[in-house]
Amino acid sequence: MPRHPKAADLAALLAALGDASVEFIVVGGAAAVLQGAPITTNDLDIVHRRTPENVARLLEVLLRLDATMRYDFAHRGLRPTAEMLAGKGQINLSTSLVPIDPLCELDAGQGYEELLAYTRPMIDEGRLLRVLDLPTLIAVKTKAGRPKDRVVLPILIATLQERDKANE
Amino acid sequence: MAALIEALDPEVRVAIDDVDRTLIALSLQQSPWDRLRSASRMAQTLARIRDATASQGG
Repeated sequence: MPRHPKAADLAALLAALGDASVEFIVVGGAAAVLQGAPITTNDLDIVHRRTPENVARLLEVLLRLDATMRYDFAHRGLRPTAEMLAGKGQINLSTSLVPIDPLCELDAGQGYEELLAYTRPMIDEGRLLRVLDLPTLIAVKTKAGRPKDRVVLPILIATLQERDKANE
Repeated sequence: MAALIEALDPEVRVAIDDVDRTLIALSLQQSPWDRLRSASRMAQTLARIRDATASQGG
């Protein structure tokens, strides 16, 4: 099991990334929560920009937070690398704050640049966050169709409906 | 919106009516960061209870 504990703070992890000027898009459960979906989440899925500079900034934050691979059952304390973050896959990490999954692409050909048009900028406590918008999040989860996506889809649709109603 | 709902399978579509919208209204009253903190705290609490139960052989 991951050896990182308890002092979990999702907002602190987002703040650490923002303070280091890492360019990323919040996707997954945290994106849903930020937009008002009443679900729980305790990890952070992001799609990061894969320029060498941004990968270096992200890696610096991850290493500072003692990031190690979550699915390393031999407990070797494997660290993420710039090569991994610049690739195409998904990396599952445990950190001293909360688990984080940096995704190089959300789906094939859906990297940071491609998703940017489908994000919602959110400014709170002086920080700008780019969050995958609810319609796109719903479309992604519908396509994925996993049980964990199907469970949350009705809540996401209802959240979008209520938000639209409130904005009318 | 109609297209998003149309793409869902019927089982998921029916479940939309079962969602407690008062919880959504409460969430929308919070700032985005407060939503995140609440969700994170709740997940932690549930994980703590689950871990404690498991360690007691429950």
